[in-house]
Amino acid sequence: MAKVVFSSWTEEVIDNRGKSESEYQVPENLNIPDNFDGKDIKIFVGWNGIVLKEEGVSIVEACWKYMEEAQKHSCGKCFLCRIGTKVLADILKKLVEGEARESELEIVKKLSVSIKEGSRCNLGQTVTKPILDALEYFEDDFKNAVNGIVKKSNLNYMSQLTAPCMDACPIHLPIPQYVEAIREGRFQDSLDLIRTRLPLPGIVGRVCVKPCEDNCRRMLLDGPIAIKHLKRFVADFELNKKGVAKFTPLEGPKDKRVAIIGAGPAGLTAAYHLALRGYKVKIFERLGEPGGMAAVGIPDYRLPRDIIKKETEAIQSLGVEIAYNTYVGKDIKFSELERDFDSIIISIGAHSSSRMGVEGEDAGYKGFIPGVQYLLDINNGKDPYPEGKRVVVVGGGNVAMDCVRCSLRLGKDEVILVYRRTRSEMPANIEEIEEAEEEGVKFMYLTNPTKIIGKDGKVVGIELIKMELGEPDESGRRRPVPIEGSEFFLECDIVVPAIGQAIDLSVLEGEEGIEVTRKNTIVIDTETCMTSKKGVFAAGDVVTSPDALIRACAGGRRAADRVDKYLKGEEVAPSLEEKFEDYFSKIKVFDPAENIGIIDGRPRVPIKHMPPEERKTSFVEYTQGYTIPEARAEADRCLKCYRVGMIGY
Amino acid sequence: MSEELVKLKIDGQEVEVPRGTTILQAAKKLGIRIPTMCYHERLTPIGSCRMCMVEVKDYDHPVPACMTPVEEDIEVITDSDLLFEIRRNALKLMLLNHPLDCPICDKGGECDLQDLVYEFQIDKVEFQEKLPNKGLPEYATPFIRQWADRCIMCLRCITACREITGRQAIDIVGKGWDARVAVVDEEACKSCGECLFVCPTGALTDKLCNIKGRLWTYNRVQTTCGYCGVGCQLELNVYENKVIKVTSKNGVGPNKGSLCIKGRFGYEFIHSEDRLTKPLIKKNGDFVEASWDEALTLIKDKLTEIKEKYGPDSIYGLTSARATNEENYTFQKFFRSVIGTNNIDHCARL
Amino acid sequence: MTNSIEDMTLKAEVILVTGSNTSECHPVIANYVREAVMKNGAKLIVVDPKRIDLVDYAEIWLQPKPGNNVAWINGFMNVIINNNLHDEEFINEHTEGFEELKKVVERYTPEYVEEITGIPAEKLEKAAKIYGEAKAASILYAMGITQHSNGTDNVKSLANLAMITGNIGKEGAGVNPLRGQNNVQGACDMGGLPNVYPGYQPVDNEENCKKFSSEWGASCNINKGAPLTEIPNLVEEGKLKALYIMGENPLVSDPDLNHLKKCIEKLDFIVVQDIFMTETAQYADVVLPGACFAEKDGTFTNTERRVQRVRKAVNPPGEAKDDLTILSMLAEKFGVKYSNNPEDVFEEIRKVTPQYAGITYKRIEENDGVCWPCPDEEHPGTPILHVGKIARGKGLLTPIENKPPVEQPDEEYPFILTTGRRYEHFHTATMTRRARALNYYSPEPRLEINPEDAKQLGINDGDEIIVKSRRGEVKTKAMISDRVSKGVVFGCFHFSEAAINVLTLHALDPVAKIPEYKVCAVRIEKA
Repeated sequence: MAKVVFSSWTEEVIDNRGKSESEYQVPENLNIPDNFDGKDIKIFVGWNGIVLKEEGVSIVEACWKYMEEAQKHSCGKCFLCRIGTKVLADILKKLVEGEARESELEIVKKLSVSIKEGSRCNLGQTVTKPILDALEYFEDDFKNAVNGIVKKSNLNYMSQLTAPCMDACPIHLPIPQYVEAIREGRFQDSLDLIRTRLPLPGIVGRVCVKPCEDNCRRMLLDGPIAIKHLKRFVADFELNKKGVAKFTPLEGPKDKRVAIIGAGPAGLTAAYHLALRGYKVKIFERLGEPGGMAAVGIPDYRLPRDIIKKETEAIQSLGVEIAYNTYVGKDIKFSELERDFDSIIISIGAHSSSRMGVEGEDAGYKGFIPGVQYLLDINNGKDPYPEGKRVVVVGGGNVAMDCVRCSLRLGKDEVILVYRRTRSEMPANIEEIEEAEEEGVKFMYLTNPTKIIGKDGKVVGIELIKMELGEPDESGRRRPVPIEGSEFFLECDIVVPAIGQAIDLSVLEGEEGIEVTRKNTIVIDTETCMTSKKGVFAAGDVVTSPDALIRACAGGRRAADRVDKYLKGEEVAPSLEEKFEDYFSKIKVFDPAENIGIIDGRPRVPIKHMPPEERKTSFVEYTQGYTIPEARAEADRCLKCYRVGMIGY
Repeated sequence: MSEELVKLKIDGQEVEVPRGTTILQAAKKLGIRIPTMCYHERLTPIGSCRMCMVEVKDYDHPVPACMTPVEEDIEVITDSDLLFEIRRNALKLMLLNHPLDCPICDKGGECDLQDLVYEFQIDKVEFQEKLPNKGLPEYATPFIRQWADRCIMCLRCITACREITGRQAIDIVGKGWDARVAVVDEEACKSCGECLFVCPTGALTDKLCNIKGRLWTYNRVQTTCGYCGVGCQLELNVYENKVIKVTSKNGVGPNKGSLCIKGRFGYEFIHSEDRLTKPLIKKNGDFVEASWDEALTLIKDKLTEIKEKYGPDSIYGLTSARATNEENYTFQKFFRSVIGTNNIDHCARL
Repeated sequence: MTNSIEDMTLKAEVILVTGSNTSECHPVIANYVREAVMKNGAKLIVVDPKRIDLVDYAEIWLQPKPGNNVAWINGFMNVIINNNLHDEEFINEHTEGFEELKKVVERYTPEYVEEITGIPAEKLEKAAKIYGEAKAASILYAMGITQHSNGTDNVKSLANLAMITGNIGKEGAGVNPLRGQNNVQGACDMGGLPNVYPGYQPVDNEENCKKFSSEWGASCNINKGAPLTEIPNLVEEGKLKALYIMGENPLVSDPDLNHLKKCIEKLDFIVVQDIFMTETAQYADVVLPGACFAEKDGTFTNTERRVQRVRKAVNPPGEAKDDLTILSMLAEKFGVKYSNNPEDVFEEIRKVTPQYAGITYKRIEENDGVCWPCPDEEHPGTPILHVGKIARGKGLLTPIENKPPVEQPDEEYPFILTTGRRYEHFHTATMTRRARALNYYSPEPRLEINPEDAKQLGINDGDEIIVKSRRGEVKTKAMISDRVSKGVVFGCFHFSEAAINVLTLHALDPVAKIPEYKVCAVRIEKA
């Protein structure tokens, strides 16, 4: 942490004014980066207060500018914020000009309190905090200003709107805005807002890992807003009432062509954004259907294929072409794409299963089926190994959960999940684990396979070893250690390893000049999203290694933006908006320790589930979306936690 | 579904209400008045005016009473220094752009803002002289006039347009101080006047009739609309024997105050120059004005003659789905008892 | 309507809207439907050949070809019975004829209905299940159901559907025709019909005849009169000589106008009592200037049977008088004394009309209107009919077969013309066209035509076109609209200069004598 002259950002107020740098008090837990887009920040004003990085900056001026910026973001839906911040801005301006009277200082104070306590959303409630801080800690500056002693710094100021949920969302959806639209019954508007960034609301609304909800302030009151379910609600609403959406491009047609390899979440999102800008886009997909891992890796009971197909169809309404069953690297050479297209995005995902590295893995036993293959077969409507009745799945992630729950739905007699740590370390979503338990999956924790046992070319069992937890590893989780001599035999006829996915880079066969890592991911420049080869971009799991679907979408969107800039001959760099997004992410907009301090008794509206007995025999989607009143009631719980962050440099 | 009751205290008085009730509704039950501006019974709470902010004991921040549901055992305080300050400031902020042109405003005398300003005794706004004007009155629709400066952006109109009529023709345009209510979908707006009906100030006024009267100079007569079969209750505003405006009362009649364009703006035919004002008798193919006596005598003579010659069933009476029950009754009574025929019908089927 | 406006919408779990362009013709009821969907989560089913506004709020929209309503209603019942969604207890206790009905609807499988109506079988099945599974489902309908040569069949079929699912006599349910005119309900209640006295007491019943004869001090005719749609025939047969018209405009509103005009010209004597010189008044021998709703006192009865007050706000212009006064003056000429005081007349109505017996002006004032039946002054009125017991004793389930519309499109007349109203106008528009606001939005007649059809005919939006049927032709302008499906055009009957009823056919429902306004075959040409 670099030096800070003054900070009211955290509970502990730091005031180093007048001290020599060696005496500077260093704040704890304060993380306001010093640099924004190559500029040294002199002051940061935001929802929690003021962070002054350089002595001598005019606080009055910063307050005035902050109110001016607040005006630009104030939605106009409540009197106090809409007009109040305008009045504050005008008085503060007069103060900076040395034209204000003392009585007006009193107005600033009183009005700030009214705006803070009375505003409809968190914007008005937080935007006055730094003003009140300034009045308290920089009283002299204001008194001087009233007396005509003017101090100007003439800094440059820039601001952006954020919210804890928006900040946490990898693709930074305007969540409070689309939630409010649902509250108001403007479902189409809500969907349009989502689609400014994300073309797959029906998919994401079903399977998202929802970092937004983990960062929802309402959690501190009674439980986060069901943002995921609300997203699904608007997507379903449109699909049920109006059918598949039809989009129109935002920009005129362009003669530049873009090839995208892989019709997964990243590829589809990229295609959507490029086609919106008028580019001719063609996607090359290895499989016979769209969706990538979302289609083959996520079972129908969680994400019906129909949804993927319809959302893809909507994207195709922009003229996006998809060549299915086309394996780049085999059916068509990468070099041919380079020849025929102006730019390429690689978004092939992670479709291979990681190896366990145990004996018998490569013996080719019938009944040994890697997780991704297992799910792919099931999703294609077939039982991968009908003779097998007793299934052991190894792993603790969502794919492992999908494998065990699918096994039940195939009618297997017994389904056992083997995981080397304990339940609390399992990376799978807690809902998934609970639901698998309800459905009757047996869980064996602190157990790891050591050997696959086969007979006559078929799996007959698995040798397992007991584990115990040792010291924490680099991920912070305690490392599982085998207990020597605790090996035991478990009879089974199917073994499904689902310990992770790997990337198959055969796409690039014969292709040189694209840098890859040891883990088989493609290296990109984080600013430009470009690989080491000019004009070739990459996004999704192939860059990040297996990760959440929404992150793949976010990557696809960024890649599309860079391709657009690249093809227009502009500087290939993040937009100012993106820079702010990244900057806020470092600050962390959500404060889990905050005391909300209001009364509001409206618990989260639960979603209806099929009972376990019924759902475990069926691949039909087992959750029921919200009804209109349910969705509106849930949306009404949103606290509208808008905030404005402003930098001065 | 059994209703779960929640017990709470408001200003020291205990009250029990069903779960889901808002603090505002609970206070109303106790007869405690919390000032409101944007709140309207028929609309989802808007929360724009912040007049109804209340404090809850042991909680740090006030909440809007109109949007906050009650909780078990809470103690609500509806008036305090902080609340008074918030309400007064909210009102003062409204007055920064709202001109006090009450003497020339159609709404003068029945304006919610006027009432609140009077209640809070606000005689001046010390914040600053005046904010820049939002410009001249704009035309919202050909029959509704929008006075941008008078608009306090309570958003009732936008909410009503969306929720009651489902049209979504108007919305907020712009941010911060520049935000204003504007028509965003011209084709969707059909001048039903629902916005006009819910507007608490004179920001939206009727501009169909060029005769303007003050509230106290004209008569309001509640009656039933003469168009479709819904039977909407409306008020004819009468000035010197002329209908100059149609208004409606919130919550009254099957329409609860809503009207359509026909009910609200379709009254001009009443004073149309084409109205028949004298009995007419056709002579040699042309209509000639006649006295009532002359006309009625002719009818009596002709009908009697035809009845005598061809029998009562040679005469047919068409009564009317537009006439009153009393008139319809009398008409059929006349035909059945005086003419002596059941040849009576009306256009129920058309 | 069996249920009140608020009840059939806000209390319903499912609302079935059919043959009603609610947001255009009953805008305020459409508001309620919307509120039911958006606030209460009611599921809306729309069955209409036209893509009406409410479709945006519908859970499901079925688009049948115009006509053939019985087919899809029977199809609904077929699905409901096959899925055991019918209410056996209600059927046993409150209805008769279920077995016969079952036999007929058995044949109306979703697939068969698809053949007739073009509604995809799986959609029909889904919609029927939504209706059948609801705890309370209401049906809203209007002229799209009744204005057919088998209108009565359509209505009976809807009643069948409601009865076999127990959706009669309870909250949030019922069969609810939306009445199109302010007092069409009242005009019927008051005996403005050829076959009944006030309160639907049959005229061809001796006891009733005696009762009214003594009440009115005259001898009443025991023979039923003829319905108005029979007028042209009666004139042609020389049986009808004089016509007294109080506030109607049949020369715009009635079917096959050219024919009707010829008949009217043959009459010996015509009296028209109206507020304007209407198309019909032009043919009159005597025209009497009446008063409009704002110029008189009295009562109207709305579509939910609510009796409400009409209050005088202004004086009629010139020598114009309200109809009650005119009638009393005329009666005086005949030597009979009639009161011209509305409240006195209402007191008389109460005496002879059992449904109105308990309603007084005072009670109307105090209760925001009273819904009949209201047998005595202690009775609160009846917003929901048939509660606990169907009025007739047992509801009769009538097995009904589908009948196609009388006139089908063919090579010569390839389009189906369906008629109705527009939001801004009312009926023959004598009033609405004299209001600037309404004329502003809808100044001229337009015929809605599907974009594909228009393209094929080379017609652009706003082009002048000629619409021809076997009975006549009309010049109007085209309005390209995807609200109508291919092969269907929609015209409204408000505009006398393009009187759409020149085209419509005089095919009447055998029972209700309602004309088939919703289906006739036409040809379209560029003007």
